[in-house]
Amino acid sequence: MTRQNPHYPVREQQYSAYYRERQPSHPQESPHMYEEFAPPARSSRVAPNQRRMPRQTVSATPSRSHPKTRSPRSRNVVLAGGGMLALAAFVVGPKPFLDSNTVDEKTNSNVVCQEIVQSSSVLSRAELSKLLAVTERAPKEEVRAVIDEPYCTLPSVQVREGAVSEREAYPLEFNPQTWFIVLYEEGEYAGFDFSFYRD
Amino acid sequence: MRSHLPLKAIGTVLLLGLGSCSLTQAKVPPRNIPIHQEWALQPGNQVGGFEVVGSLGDVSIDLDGSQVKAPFNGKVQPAEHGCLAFTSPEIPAYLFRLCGVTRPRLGGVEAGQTIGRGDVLQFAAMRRQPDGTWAMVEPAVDVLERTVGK
Repeated sequence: MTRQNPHYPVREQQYSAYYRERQPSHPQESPHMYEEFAPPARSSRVAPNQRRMPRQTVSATPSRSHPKTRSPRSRNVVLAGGGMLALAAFVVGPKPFLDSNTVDEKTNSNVVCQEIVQSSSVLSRAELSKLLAVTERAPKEEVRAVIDEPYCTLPSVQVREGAVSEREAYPLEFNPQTWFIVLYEEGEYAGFDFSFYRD
Repeated sequence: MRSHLPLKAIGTVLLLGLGSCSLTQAKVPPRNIPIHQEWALQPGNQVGGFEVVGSLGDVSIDLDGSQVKAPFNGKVQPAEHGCLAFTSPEIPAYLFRLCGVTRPRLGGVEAGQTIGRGDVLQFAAMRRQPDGTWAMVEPAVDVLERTVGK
């Protein structure tokens, strides 16, 4: 965008002196004549065009392109503040990217065994396949005919008034980090679920 | 001209926050709960021009704005008529329907974690049936105390 304010010359005018001096005006000129226009050393605080150009020309440069618009200290403060805000938003606010990966992790808690029954017990694919054919409300013995003793039992819990739920857990043979949890009530098979993390 | 860096930084943070809110809410799919009992009235039905907020099978608890907490480690999903569905792998074959919870926390939750608040909580415990429907059962007092206890 070209500014109309006479105090802010157009970009071509701002840098015309700079570019004119960089352009060889004579075929006899050698590169060493432009040493001052070489990239400054890192420790240099003087912009290359400030060395040769009149100060008023430099000051006429619009603030957008002026390297001294904001001091490095204040810019660092702003950057630090922005960083703190972003960090606060990340910590306090919802975490979409983490949540997308951790919703299921949170959903499936670690299994806490109450008593180890058979430490070598695992549930194979074949056993799991057979178990899926057993309908809810079937006698517990029907399930036990398909799968062996559990790895452990979980603490009994009462979900429905008057009925104690017995829970048994099996690590999957093909994915030992995943538990298979089966629930019985009053000697009947009630259902199963998977807990995907294990202590 | 002053630099717009602070405004840009704040704007970016706000945009990220808003985006994260919408993304978080959008990630939890709603839960359809086919009820085994074929009762005429369910939460969300209209009677005489008024909305039914609790039906047969719901336990109504006067919370007076208190917290509703997750009884087990599990997952909270939106259900029909502004209700919530809570399921947990720790208690297979069971599902809890909670109506009347305001500003709920959806997704994975840990036991004891606040799900939301409410004035009157309608709590229904359901057990899965062989045909895939959910039968309302009487919830144990222990489960209710885990959900609304202080």
